[in-house]
Amino acid sequence: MERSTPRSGQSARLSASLSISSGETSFAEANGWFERFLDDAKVPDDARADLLVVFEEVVVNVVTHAYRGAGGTIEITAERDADALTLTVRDDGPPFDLLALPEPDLDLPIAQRPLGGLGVHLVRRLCDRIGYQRLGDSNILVMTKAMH
Amino acid sequence: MSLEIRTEARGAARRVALSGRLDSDTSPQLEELVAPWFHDAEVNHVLFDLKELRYVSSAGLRVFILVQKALGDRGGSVVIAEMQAPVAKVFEIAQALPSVSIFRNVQELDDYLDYIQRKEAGELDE
Repeated sequence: MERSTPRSGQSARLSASLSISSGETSFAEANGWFERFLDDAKVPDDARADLLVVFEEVVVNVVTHAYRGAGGTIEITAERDADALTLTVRDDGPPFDLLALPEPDLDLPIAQRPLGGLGVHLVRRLCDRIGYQRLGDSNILVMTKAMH
Repeated sequence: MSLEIRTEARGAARRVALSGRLDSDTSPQLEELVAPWFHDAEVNHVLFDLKELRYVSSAGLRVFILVQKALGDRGGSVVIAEMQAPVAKVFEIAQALPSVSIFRNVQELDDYLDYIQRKEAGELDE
């Protein structure tokens, strides 16, 4: 874990990065890392609950889609500053924009409801800002949640 | 990360109590448990006690949607009691419980279970 020491006049910042191997690192391990970060960053309970869901939805989606079974590295960075927590997830797989996946139709009666798409919908609703960028050979997803 | 499941079968009803986390690692356990009920015409009511469930993600929502689809097809009922706030929030955002009756507490769920039993046994006037 890398921490930056607050300098006078600057808000405290905490940041940490984790590299996971899509074929080898378990979701449980990655989640454990993020839970510890949330503890260290003293994130309030309701934001914490939202962020844990966002973390799972994004990491599981990226692990499933980024390398499609061939292994690869996914880099996750969490940063906490005075006003927000930002989660960045980077993979070096083929172009894949999680946010371009179609939104599910939630008004359909249960018999016609599709099973997919709920994870991305949850991410959109639980974050304040999300963005995707293709940079060089990498997919970069950045999610921010405001908090105090 | 763990999920504990306690099930009880009573006539055409199945009572399922979940404890812990329902996520991409643990939801296959739940799906494996409920899948046989989808095509079992003898299962007509599935009641979930979620008092001890502290986390749900889309992987978990999937199982609840499958249960609603299966029971809905044959006019059965799905009931949930006592969702913790973060769990209720996720279900609500995903609008994942369109055909579930939500009971305020586990006592109401168990009262309903007793009611089903008595009705099946013909103890109640129709």
